[in-house]
Amino acid sequence: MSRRRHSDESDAGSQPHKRRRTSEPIEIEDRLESLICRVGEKSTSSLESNLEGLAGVLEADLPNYKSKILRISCAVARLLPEKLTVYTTLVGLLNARNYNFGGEFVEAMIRQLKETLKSNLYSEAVYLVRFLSDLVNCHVIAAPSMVAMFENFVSVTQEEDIPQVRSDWYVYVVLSSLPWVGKELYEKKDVEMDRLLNQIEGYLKRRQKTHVPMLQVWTAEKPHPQEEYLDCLWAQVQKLKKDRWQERHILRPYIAFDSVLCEALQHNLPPFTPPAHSDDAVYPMPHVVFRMFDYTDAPEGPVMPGSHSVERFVIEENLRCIIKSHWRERKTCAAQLLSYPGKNKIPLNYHIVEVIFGELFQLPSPPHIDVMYTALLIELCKLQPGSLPQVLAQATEMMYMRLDTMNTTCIDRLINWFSHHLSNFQFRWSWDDWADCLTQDIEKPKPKFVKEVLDKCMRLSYHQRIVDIVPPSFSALIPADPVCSYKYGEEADSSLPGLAMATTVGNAIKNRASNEEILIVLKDVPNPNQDDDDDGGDGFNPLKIEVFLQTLLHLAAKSFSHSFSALAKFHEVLKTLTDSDEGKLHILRVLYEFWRNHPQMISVLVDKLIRTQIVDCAAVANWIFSPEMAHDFTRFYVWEILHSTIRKMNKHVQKIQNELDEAKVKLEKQHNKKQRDSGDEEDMEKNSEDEEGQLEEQIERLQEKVESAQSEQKNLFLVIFQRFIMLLTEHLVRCETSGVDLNTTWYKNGIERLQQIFLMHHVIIQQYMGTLENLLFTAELDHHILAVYQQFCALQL
Amino acid sequence: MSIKLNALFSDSYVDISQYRDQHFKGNRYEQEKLLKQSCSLYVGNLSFYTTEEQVHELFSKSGDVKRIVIGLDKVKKTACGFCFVEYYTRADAEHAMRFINGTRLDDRIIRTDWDAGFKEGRQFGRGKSGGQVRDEYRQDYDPARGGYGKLLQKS
Repeated sequence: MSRRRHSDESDAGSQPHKRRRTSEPIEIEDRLESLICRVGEKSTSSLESNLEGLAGVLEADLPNYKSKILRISCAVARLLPEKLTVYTTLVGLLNARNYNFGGEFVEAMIRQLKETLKSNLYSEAVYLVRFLSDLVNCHVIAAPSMVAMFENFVSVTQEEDIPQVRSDWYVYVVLSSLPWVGKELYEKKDVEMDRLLNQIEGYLKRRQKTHVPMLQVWTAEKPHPQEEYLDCLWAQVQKLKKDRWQERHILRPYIAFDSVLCEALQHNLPPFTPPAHSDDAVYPMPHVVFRMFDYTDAPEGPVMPGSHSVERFVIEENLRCIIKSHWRERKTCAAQLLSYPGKNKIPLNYHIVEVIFGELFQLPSPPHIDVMYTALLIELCKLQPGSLPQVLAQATEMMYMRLDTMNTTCIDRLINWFSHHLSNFQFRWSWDDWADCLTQDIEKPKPKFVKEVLDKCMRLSYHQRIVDIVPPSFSALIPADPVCSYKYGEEADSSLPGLAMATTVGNAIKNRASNEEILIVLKDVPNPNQDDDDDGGDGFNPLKIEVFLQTLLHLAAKSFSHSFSALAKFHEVLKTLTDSDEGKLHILRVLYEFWRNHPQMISVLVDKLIRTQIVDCAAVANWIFSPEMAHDFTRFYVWEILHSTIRKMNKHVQKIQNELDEAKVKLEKQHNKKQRDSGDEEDMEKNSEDEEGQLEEQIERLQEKVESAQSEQKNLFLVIFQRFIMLLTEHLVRCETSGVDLNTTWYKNGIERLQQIFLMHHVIIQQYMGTLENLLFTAELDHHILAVYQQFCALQL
Repeated sequence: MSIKLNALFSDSYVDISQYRDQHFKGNRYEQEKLLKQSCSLYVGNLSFYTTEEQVHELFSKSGDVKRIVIGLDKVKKTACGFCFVEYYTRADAEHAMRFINGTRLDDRIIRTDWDAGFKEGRQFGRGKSGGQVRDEYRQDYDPARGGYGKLLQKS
């Protein structure tokens, strides 16, 4: 898709693929789209005169292009919420000149609102309702009819047997429109509005907030409470009401046109009944408001609006909308953020940094891919080199200080962001400022964070670089040199079992032995489990696995590609050796032992072993929870491996499901074709019957495959949750019996890692809720562990 | 539902560039078609010392990496400053074009571009001396890429 640039209206002839300026309908429609989309951007003329001009142009085009103008206007209402008031003003001006257009626009908006609600596009629906409410300010919609719509929304709180997230949303959409229209509605209908707000207050008091702890970035209340989003918005609206609805932040171009607009005739919104709840409705999940700055943090310049001021809400909303519109183009996104209207009255850099981290740390997951935020922050630093890097450093310092109460999932993301960011700036950082972490137990959040950051920094550079960038006092936190540990090397004890065999195998591999030849060589390896081995030497033999794999990995240790090649070449041998569950577990153990200083290598090799079906996902899960891995249980790379494993499982199921769906579509097409062709020659009918038969067979096979894959998927989650429960219960029981405080660093990590499983894979897990509740998360479970499950359930109730 | 407002939501980081592989077996149209659906990226301006591990770590940030092929000097068979990164899905490769292209790896700003798909032989530099063409003629001194350009070195 090529980008067409129009700096202003006179540029229309410059598109490279258009030969001449014509009045072809398609080109005029494109031009209209461009004019409407670009109004409000940087211009030599004032916004008001641009709006006036555009209104004139559109009015003139209404007779011929009305439906196109209607569609574009509806689209900008839905897709450009950060320019809400610019477009409501435009619609207001058009309505003043052409009453019918105003009426048709309102009708089109209502239709669009219905469609977005039906399609689970709730954030867009919010923008549409907000747009409608701002149209009250532009004299397009009569205030009483807007109040009536709000009343219908709030009455959803009286519905029975609905998920809380449904009524939450309808309350949210009313409250979040009030910064724009509260004043006008109160002036016209204060009695009704008071009643509305009372109803909302009552609802907010009785709703459940079980989900909150799971969604908070920090568990501490200080310095900034992490508030539930509706509670925060309510406080903001209350404050706005107390200030008599005086709101000074929102840019309102329509004020300049008041004399024109108040002459316009208003329309009444048709009565709008919220669509009934249905089972396939997916309402937005609740969230917690992320706050890291307040007015004390910006040292000079404009003051940051308070946490319960409506300005704060509007600024955050608008910045998030800008990111939502422009995330694909980081330079544009950064430029748009930095040219936020009204930026001179607020410490914009602080707001931007706070919003970006708020999104990055959002639970369950950020709105966009993590790496986008890293790239965006780098662009922002480039555009504001004199100010933004300092704010970012201040933010990083703050987050370091508060690591003790930060959610583990968020710490993971912070580690990834910080290390990647540093790698773009020659790893320059004032590490000495963090010397306080050196005196703490290395498992505590601060030293752990620094250690993991240095781990990641090393992956993006090399070991000596890390040694060079940190002060010598930090040596305990520097990662190990990522070299392998070959147990059959020159320093090996001569009595080590398998030593001689390792040399034999090594030579065989170097002499390009085939898989069969290697297996023959390995037949001579004795089995330390000799007593259990009664199937003639083909059963699980841990020594065979060790001798072969250690030697193979050693020969291929040079790079990832060498190791991948080795695994591919000897796939057959590996498959044979790991035929049993014990075999699969052991190969992972051997891999870990060999590469324990190189977690990155472990990760990529585990990935390859799964993809080549040498081990299955459940084996990886069991391995991670095995006693041998207890030492690394709190290390970041272990959880990266587990989540990557779960994702592979999920993608596998999805892939087969897609194949099944495609086959079903094909079959249906075949049916339709058959109906059309029926009555044709016998041959053709027979052919199509054959095809149909084949398709049906294929569908049956795929159906079985899907069921089998889903069963494997369910089993994987069961294994993981079971192991968590065992491990955590053990700890809790031990603490209770010995009277020790259960809240150790290890426990905090463990319980939050359990939470993380739910959060990162909530969509899939929701399918298996029944089984989980019946088998694992029963009432007999320790309440600490059960609480995690209950918080998760509360996310969609 | 409604229109998409093409004028506004461009995705230019994902567009194909002007570069076309002169050794590609097929016509321009075929090459462009492959580029537009490719999951493979060419990565340039690497240091000669950048490792597969570093490339893997960085490019994994936009999705699961299927394969990396480090570019080699045709004569010396050592790394000569480029590589190919292949993803399992197009979407992951697009994220790399949007967020990794133009950022640093091993302290150098790297450049990514769509590649029509790895074929044996494409891992070798096409410069006369064995490395990349750009290292034949450049005049500057770049310690991470063998110092001066090859032509300059010979003179």
